[in-house]
Amino acid sequence: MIGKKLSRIAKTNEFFVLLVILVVFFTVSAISPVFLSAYSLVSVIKTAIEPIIYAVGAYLVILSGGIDLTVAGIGAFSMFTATKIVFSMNYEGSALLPYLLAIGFGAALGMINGLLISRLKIQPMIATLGMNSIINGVMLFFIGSREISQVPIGIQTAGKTYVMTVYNANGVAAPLSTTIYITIAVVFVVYLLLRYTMLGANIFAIGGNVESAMRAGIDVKKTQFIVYVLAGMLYGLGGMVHTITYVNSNPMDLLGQEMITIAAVIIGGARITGGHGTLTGTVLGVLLIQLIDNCLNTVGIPSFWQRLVVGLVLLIGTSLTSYQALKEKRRLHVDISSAPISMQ
Amino acid sequence: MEMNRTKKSSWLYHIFYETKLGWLFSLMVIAYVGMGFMSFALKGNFKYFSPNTLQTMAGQIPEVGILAIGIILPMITGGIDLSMVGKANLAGVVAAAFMTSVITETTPESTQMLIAIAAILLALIVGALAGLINGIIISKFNAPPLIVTLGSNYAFMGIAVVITQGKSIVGLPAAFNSLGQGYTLGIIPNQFVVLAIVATVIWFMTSKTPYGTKLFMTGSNMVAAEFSGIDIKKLLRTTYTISGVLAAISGCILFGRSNQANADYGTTYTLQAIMIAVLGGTSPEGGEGNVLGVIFAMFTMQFLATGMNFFQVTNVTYLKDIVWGGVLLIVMVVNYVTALRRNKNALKKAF
Repeated sequence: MIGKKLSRIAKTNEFFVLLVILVVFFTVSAISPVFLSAYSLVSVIKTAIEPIIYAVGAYLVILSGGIDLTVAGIGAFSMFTATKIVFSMNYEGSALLPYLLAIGFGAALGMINGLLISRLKIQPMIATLGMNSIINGVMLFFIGSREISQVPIGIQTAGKTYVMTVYNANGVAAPLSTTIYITIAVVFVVYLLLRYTMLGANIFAIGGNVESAMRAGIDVKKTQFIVYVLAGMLYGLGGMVHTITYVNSNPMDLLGQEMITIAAVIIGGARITGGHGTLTGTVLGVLLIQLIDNCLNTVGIPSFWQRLVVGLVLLIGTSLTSYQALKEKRRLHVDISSAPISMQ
Repeated sequence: MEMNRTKKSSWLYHIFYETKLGWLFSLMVIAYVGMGFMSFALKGNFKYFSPNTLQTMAGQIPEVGILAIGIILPMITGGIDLSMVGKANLAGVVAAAFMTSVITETTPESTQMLIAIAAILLALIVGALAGLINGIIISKFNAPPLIVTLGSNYAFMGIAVVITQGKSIVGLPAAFNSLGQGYTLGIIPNQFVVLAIVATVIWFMTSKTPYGTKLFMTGSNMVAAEFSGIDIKKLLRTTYTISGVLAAISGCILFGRSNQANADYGTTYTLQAIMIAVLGGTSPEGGEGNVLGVIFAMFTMQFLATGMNFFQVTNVTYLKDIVWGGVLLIVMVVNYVTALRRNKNALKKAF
């Protein structure tokens, strides 16, 4: 009984990613023993706080069968505009208001995405591609392109409250910010949403097969709309976490974040066609990318190798999973296109 | 699109009515004239319409234009290629590294010319190989093109960065730079001539050869295409290889124009190229797309961008982002609404 369960777990993609994470971690530790410490563990987790929030948003969208290229756009717009507003207000309260503002902007922009995709039937990739261009343009042209380094006091204090701080042998500190609670809360809430609510079931359903979902009486348009709004809120929240972590707000910081986020979600085992993939996988995917980034530095490989390694991980990962799916299909003779004609 | 040609008609009628390119052409003309008069209203001169401006625009279009033409081929098969810029940079960087390592200060002019030609050929081979790798992974493992090319984009760019060690390669020979800086007959930018040749070749391939027919059949219905005897795997490999060659051409022009090779150059071009391809009538779902539409689209985008330069507002590139994204979304919405109306009319006629 337990053996069966274990072998089922061993076959999942999440297990595979976890295995890769462990292999990378212990290989690097073997090469440079300094790495095997609380310091490097905290460093990896610290850098993963923000990307996990984006990845959870992108995961919801990919799960519903769409794709979202506005990750960086919405994230940067929300954080920068929110910071700018509280900055010009001479606001001196806590970080709650900037958070709420950023989430609000994210929701509003996500709503536009949702309307374009669910009501006007524009393909998600095209709609979000255009939207990303517009959002970036509006932010940089109308709101400003200079970074705000003198952020309001609330953001500063929020950025400097730590859960714990660990030091490495040289006495360099790796503080773990309290923003980690936000990430944990996001993952937990989205887990509950997908596991226990009708909406969660509907997201899986429309990602699996839109036609069947529609016939089953699911309001596809509404579900799609909500997914993009939720994703927008998460990008906004992630953006604000970025500002709080780095204690400044630079609209250019998140450039290219959309691609690495999608890469993380896919490495975590979500299928780009929708309906497949787990939250655990997504979190592990982000951790793997951040771990690779950290390890390369430790082992002494210059950071410009990072992109090559991430690319190869993504290529090998997709090739393996696609090949497995293909073999499975052939075995079952489900797919007509890959079955021999005599089978018809 | 090609199959609709039941009645004999003039080629002009065919292009502008049957392939629905007429309104795209009108959009281009409106963009040109509109931006011209707007810059006149703001600046009080007609500099926008001067031949000089046209020449500048003709020099700026090809980089993204060739990428856009290269991206429509995978899109017609129902895939996509996010690795265009990765391939372009890798090919360009390899060519630049080759040239700078072979050429010394004492190398005579004529030898430099030969080396530049060899470097361009090398770039084309690198581009083709990079494209072939995409094609093999996509066709052999049945992997989603979006993800494969997203990953290979990182990998190609990564290799390019490793070659350059994160720095720029400067001091490319004049013979190579003439690809992006010289003029044919003294007026037409060389890169524009390259664009014209590329566009003609790809137009011919997609509309006049068996390859083109297979391409559109595969994109409209892959299963049906396979059962009608098309070797889909071979077709995908060929398609991604061609798109790799086009990316390499664009990479050479890019580095020739800027007189330096940098692995991080033009990262925003991928999304711009997709934007132009989609605006030009290429469907991301496959089976639709044509070179002429893409050409109209790239001119439209360039007219808008150059026109805004004449407004002389600060941060004009960001204004361009807004307008480009806006045009793309408006065109998509208009497409949807007209399709809806057409369907309703068809329904009314039927009942």
